[in-house]
Amino acid sequence: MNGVTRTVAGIRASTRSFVREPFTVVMLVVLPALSIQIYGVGMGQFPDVGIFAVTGSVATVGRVTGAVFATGALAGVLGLFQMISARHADRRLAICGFRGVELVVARFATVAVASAVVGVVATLSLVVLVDDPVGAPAAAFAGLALAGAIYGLLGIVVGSVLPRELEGSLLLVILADVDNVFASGLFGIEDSITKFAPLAHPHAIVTQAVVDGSLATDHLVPALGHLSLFALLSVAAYTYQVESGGDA
Amino acid sequence: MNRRVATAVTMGIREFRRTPVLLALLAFLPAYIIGAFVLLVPDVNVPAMIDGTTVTVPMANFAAAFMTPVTVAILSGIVGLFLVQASQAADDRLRLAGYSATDLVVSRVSTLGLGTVVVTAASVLVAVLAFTPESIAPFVAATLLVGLTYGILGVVVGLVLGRLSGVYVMLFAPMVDVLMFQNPLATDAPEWTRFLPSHYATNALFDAAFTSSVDALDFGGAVAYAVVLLAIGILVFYRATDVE
Repeated sequence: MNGVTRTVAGIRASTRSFVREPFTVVMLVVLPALSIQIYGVGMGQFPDVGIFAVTGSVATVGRVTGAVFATGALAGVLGLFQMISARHADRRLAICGFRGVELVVARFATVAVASAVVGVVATLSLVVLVDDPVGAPAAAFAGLALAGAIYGLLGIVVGSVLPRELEGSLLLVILADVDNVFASGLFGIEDSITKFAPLAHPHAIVTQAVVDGSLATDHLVPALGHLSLFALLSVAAYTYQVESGGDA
Repeated sequence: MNRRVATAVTMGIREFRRTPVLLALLAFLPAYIIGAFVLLVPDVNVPAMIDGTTVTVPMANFAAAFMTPVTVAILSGIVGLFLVQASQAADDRLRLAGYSATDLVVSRVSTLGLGTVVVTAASVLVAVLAFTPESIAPFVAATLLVGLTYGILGVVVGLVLGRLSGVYVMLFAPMVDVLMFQNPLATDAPEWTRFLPSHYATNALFDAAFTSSVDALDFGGAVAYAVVLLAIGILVFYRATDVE
């Protein structure tokens, strides 16, 4: 079996194990739309007296925040569970000759596909629910896909380093929640440290796509930088975990 | 507490103790989430709607008070979810071995209560390092009520849904309820938000944080909400562990 065949076999197996839980798949479709609408309604209740430092209307930025949060958080938790549930199988596959990088690519492919589905649903929901027409839906999708991919990889890193469902979930859920609030810019936090938050740049890309109808090229490179960083970390963490016998 | 319940609770505590990573996270995450906001929010005053009156408070104090129920709700919800899922197989065996449904319910509720106390203590400790609530005891009590409410919700969700789906629900529910719809910066909250799980407890918490008077109705509402949820949780738990 060559490398490509092994990777394809891994992708098929992990995708199959995921779609066997139809309720989870339904949630991946329903929760983004629900989140966008609820965040829009939620932010619409705040008075426009300069509390929030946002570009565009507060309700629109609320919906964008809901979209980025849903895409990132759902993909992240999925990445975590994919890693934890596959640990024992992957250890056996490693003994059979699979390399760590092939295994992690197979796991990430499922997360990437799920993120893309969530991204499409979220983009369509934004187009339908935002008051003004979304000028650049493709750019919005790109930002959402980046949010999903970055958090999917972060989930893989957490799942590799801390392969326990309760502890990993606690860590990832809190990271996603805090990161999302920082990324939203709602509380006027201008400290430069928040620019390192994984969702900061995808959020800026989606906001500009929705509010201004253009692609935020100045945020694209940092977002891709985050993506590359987490890709490297996830390969390193997972390879070490599998090759060390899964006890890392 | 009878011997069976005491044994089950002791085992639960021992399980907590054997997972130092979990204890470390329960102590560290409140410091991270509350501390990060307190340190990073701008040094301005914000107009918050407390008990129907607009009160101007420093943003850092507001962040400390506001992020406390958010943190406790998220942590307690997830702990409740995993507590019941991790103990499901053991509960089935205990039922077969002679534990009554009441024994199991009391055991698991006691363990959940202990977990919520740990989460509440860690969160309140971080919060009071950042600001001094006007009424500290009601502040702690209201925070505990938020934790218990979401802990019980986590148990119910854990009994009804799988782990991944459950985490999804417990990831979104506190964010939507506490962060979006119980935010005292809002002036135009929809009527239906008063039916959300944390409504009364967060009202009581903000009263205690920023005013010297605490509305007994809010506390009563929060306790009633938790009791009703607990009754639902017991019913669902009883059905889930019924071996007949």
